[in-house]
Amino acid sequence: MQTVLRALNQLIADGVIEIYAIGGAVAAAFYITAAQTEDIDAFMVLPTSASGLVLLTPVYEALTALGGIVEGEYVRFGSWPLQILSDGNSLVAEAIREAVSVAYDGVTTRVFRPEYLCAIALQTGRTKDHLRVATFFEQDAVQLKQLQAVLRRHGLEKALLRIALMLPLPIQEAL
Amino acid sequence: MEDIRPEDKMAFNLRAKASMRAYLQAKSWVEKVESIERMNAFSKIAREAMRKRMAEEKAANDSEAL
Repeated sequence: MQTVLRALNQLIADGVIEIYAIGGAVAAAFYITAAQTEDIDAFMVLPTSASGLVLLTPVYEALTALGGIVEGEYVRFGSWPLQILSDGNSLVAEAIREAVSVAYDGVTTRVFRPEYLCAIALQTGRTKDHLRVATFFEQDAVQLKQLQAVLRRHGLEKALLRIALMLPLPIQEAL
Repeated sequence: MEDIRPEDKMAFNLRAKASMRAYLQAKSWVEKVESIERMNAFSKIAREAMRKRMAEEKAANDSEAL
């Protein structure tokens, strides 16, 4: 894991990307109990061409030069496949901007705030994403008001209502 | 075996869950990621064992069919 984070930090140091943040289950494990995942999701503002096209090649080339092995859509460092994800929508772009700096075993990195992890999970909308949001509530790891504010900005309030109706969450009265 | 009243069983389960949650939440991010790595290693072993078993069963079925 440290190797992956060092490689991501090196991308910034080398000017390949400007900013990144860890999302998905690995970031969620910063706040709640660990759940199995087989990859690390790194969300980043990718470089663009003069015509505005997103450029993935410079990122993959830089990661390969840092010891990563490209396997399909992943770049593997040791036992961890790294998935590069872009700031594809306004919610993800905001999540990257608002991410918090933390340390992983001495390596500085950035992780999404809990309300953004939940909002992105609600936007993605798979069963495992719903369960992750439920876990955030069960473990008091997300503030309802902060999550609602994010959801409101991105038109996702109804997704939370669906979760509240599906699962015994302590948020039904607040909705 | 001694009978346990349903309300005692429920209270015990709630206490057990709360203590497990406290234990899990007390873990650091590094410890939690290490536990994910262990889960992945076990999954890989399980997948390989399953693949091997299926191959052996297929080979046995094929030889029976001959």
